[in-house]
Amino acid sequence: MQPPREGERSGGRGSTALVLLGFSTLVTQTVFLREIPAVYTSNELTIGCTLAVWMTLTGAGSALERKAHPRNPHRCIPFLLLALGVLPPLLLAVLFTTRNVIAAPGTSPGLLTILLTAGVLLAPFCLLAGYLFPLLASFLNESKRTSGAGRAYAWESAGGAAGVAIFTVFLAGVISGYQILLLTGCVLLTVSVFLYPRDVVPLWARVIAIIAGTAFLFVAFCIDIDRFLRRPLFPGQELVLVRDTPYGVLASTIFSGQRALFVDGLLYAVPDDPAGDEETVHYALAQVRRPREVLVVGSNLPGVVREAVKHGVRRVDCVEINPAIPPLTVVDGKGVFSQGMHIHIADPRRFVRENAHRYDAVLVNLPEPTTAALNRMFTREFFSDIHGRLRDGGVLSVPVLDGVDYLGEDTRAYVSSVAAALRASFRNVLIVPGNRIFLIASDAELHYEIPALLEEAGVETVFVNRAYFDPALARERADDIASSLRREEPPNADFRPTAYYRTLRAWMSSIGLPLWAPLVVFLPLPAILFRRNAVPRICMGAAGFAGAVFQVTVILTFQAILGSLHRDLGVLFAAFMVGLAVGAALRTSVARKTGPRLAATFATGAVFVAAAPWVFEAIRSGTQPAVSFALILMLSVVMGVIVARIFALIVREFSGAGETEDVSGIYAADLAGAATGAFIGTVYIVPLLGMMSACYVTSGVLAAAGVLALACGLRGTGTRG
Amino acid sequence: MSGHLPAMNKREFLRFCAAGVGYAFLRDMTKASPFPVNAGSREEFDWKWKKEALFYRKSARGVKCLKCPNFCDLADGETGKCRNRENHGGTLYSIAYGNPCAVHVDPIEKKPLFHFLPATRAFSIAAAGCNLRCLNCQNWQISQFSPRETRNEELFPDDVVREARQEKCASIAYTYSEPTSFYEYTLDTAVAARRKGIRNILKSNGTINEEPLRRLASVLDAANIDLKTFDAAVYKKLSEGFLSTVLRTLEVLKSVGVWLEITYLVIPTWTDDFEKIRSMCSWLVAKGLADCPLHFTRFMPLYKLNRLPPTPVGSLERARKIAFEAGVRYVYVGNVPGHEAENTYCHACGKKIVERRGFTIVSMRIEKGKCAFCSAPIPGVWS
Repeated sequence: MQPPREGERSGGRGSTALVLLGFSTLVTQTVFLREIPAVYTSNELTIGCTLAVWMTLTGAGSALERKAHPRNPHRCIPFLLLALGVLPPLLLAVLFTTRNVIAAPGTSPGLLTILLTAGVLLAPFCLLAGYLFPLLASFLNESKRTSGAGRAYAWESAGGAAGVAIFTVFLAGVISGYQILLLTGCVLLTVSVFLYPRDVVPLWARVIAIIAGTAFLFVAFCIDIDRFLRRPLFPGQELVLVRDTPYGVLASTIFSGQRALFVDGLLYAVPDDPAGDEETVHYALAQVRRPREVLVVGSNLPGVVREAVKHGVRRVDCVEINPAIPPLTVVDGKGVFSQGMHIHIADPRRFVRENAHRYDAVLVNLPEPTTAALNRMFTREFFSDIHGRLRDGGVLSVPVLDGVDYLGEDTRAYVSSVAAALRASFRNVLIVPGNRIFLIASDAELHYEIPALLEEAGVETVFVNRAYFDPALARERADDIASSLRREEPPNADFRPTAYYRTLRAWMSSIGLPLWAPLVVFLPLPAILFRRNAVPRICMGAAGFAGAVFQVTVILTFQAILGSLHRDLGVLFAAFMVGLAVGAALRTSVARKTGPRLAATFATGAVFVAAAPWVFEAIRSGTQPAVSFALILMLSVVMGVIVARIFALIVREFSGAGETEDVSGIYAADLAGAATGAFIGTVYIVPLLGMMSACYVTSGVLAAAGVLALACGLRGTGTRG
Repeated sequence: MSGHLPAMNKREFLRFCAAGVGYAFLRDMTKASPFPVNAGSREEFDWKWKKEALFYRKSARGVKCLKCPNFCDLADGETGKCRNRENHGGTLYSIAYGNPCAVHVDPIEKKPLFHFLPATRAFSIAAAGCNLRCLNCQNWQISQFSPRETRNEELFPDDVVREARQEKCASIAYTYSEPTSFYEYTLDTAVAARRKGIRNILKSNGTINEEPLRRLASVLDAANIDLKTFDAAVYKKLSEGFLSTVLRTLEVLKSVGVWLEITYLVIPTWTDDFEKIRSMCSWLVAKGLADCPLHFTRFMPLYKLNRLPPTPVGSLERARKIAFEAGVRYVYVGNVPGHEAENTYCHACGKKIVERRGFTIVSMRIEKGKCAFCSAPIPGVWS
């Protein structure tokens, strides 16, 4: 057997390094996409902006490689890989510790602050990761001249898929984001130094890397590093517990003897909140004669149960998706189990759909739908399912807003969309303006004489009574709100989440910016696309854009239908990455014309995406979650294959000698398109147009890119060789 | 066919995009725009709900508003920090005159005013705009917008008075946003109300200069002033406000005989420094404000300050105890339903003289302004 030649060895190292690059990049990205919103402001807008900043910086790093190609890449790559392993935990520590320097303690800063912070914080890692991709791809070109960049894309995607699968599927919820980064760093430190021979990585560097890796492991598993680093996020409070769950970072604090539970930094429950508990329960139960069975969606359970039993309720089913929450909120109220409380850890949507039990009241006890995950508890479809679970005369209570004296335009639109969603299933909807504004829905008649009804039922209360609730004044305020609601607002729906869109807009207006303002992040895009070889760059940008919009659409559809996005986001990402790996790895014949083949691939993508709405409908009407899950994964994989195919076809055109530098430009265009698509898809296209139209828009983009490729060709002749 | 797009000047394209988006971005970011929002609109200024502002003078730039300590110096077309005072052709106008965006009837206890016409209703109005930027503003959808951006009713001063009478309200409350920012509307309505025997209540942040305050105070009957903290640096950071101005407002209102109550929102880690609270209470007593009821109110996470826990009830009780120790005679706890500190206890004999549950009076043991148990005069306006 002959020893491998040097070219093959460097190619082998290059592919291993690419796997490491993909692995580290995707894991770090997933962790930061969770942590930056958790530290600053938790909504999809922040996630979208962070993702856009991430991809823009990575694209810039990739473009930088062309300007600053190292003289001796063999020697510098191992050290760059080491830096790739060390940077993420350091940067996350910086994110936590500088929080109160960058923004005032206890505040949610504006988007500009978040963008700048994300840009500065992520720059070292993203620029490095972007820089490494074309550099490593050039090794594959050296070893095999056919479509090296395509194979680089495949290796990187495979690494990404593996990283996301391992850390977000198997380890999410088991270890924290910080521990995940330390562990990833340890893997990179160890593998990088042994991947290269001693003449490249000297002994001292190996020793330092191993010591650093061991230190990472020690910090990850022997010190409560999370609690230590997150303390500044909860100023003045004793941080009792931090738990990284698949549904967000939970933190339990004590402040002057008062317990509070935060999810992603936002207050989720205060165990001792009698006024809040009374509002959640009594506005609704006062409307029902002798309620016996109640379903509560959400938390703060002991207080709610205590109030419900005052009505003689015998059974309270509480459904909560996050298994880590009930033990924290029920900490002081174990007696409630003897009062008939049953906790169900399940997706409320599925619980309501699959549980045949009927209730006298369903009490939604959740924050406003500021995220897609929360939005699905405020949709027409969910309300319709609840309607089917209510007994005759049963009521549904939905809190929509903290009590205010005036509703701004977007707030009115949001309340209108939720009210319209309720009216689609219920005959009557009552607006109850208390400390929070509630919408009470029922087919039976509803009344403002809530204090009188409670007195009649013998229910004693501290807050919901005549002392605080004047029915005449409440009716007057409610009429005022009702008259301000927008009749033209469409009902909030699974596939058209208008409430979530409106709450995002309201948040933007609260920080003094219009919703389009974040688009300023995408200003560098023309600089990436409108350069030499503009057509292939535009085509690649369009493919990246379409891939990202479609993936966002699939993710939000998945969330709307199955509701376990936080848990399964990693699987969806991994499926897309697998698709990318497969698509890029497929062999490409060098003898055939690229332009028409590219156009055909775009056309296939356009048809596939245009057909996706039928699949969505089939998934929605299907009853087998496993089948729905498999279909959604299939959509992700296929889209990944199409995007990667486009990438492979385009870069093949430029993978000849002396043209490798164009690979970085095309990769940058892909990232720029994907960044734009991820952001615009999340913030504008899906919420505004709905899932179905988002598919048609994406299809149109792909079709247009296909026409461009066919009409212009990639190099004028449309042929290669 | 060429694979290249037609040659284009990239620098020019980028510069154009950056300038356009940057301009709009800045303009939206700073609602008190550095750019003329109504430039050259001298003829176009046909806003119906305008009135020439009081308290301003010409300046080199245009006009300088003298109403509040922000002293906005506005060029033609510019809007003040309060978002409702505009310079048009060298004349400063209030554009919040007769166009309230919030009109409600509230129990007077909700303001809160506990020693002023208890168990009556206040006809409450607000126009958009505020001269502060509180991170925890409950009504930011009114206060942080201009009247041009809100959904308003048309209600000129005489209409307000007429509606208040129709609703059988004993008073009109200028509230929710910042009534001193829609100063001219507040003043004219208060004058009209007084003519008809309706009392006037100001619920304000107290950030107003002395001369306009004295003029407004001449038609006021009661005021509840937010004293946000006793630390000037925190005041600035929390609200972009001025502690010294608010303290002066309290002194002036007391000196001219307006019934005064004070609200102090206890915000965890921001305004819950008990030593500062002690200093504040000592200052109040030293300035002859010991009889002014002081309301320590519970904070709930809101607006931009939404990553904090609510104020623990224990903190409010401790603040109340400190206030009593300093010599403040009537100290209440707000936003804690059912708390015993909602009641009024006689400063002399300690007996419960007003039992409150929320916004209702359960029992009242004050007779002709005196404690029914020990006959000590109880400060306030009881009828």
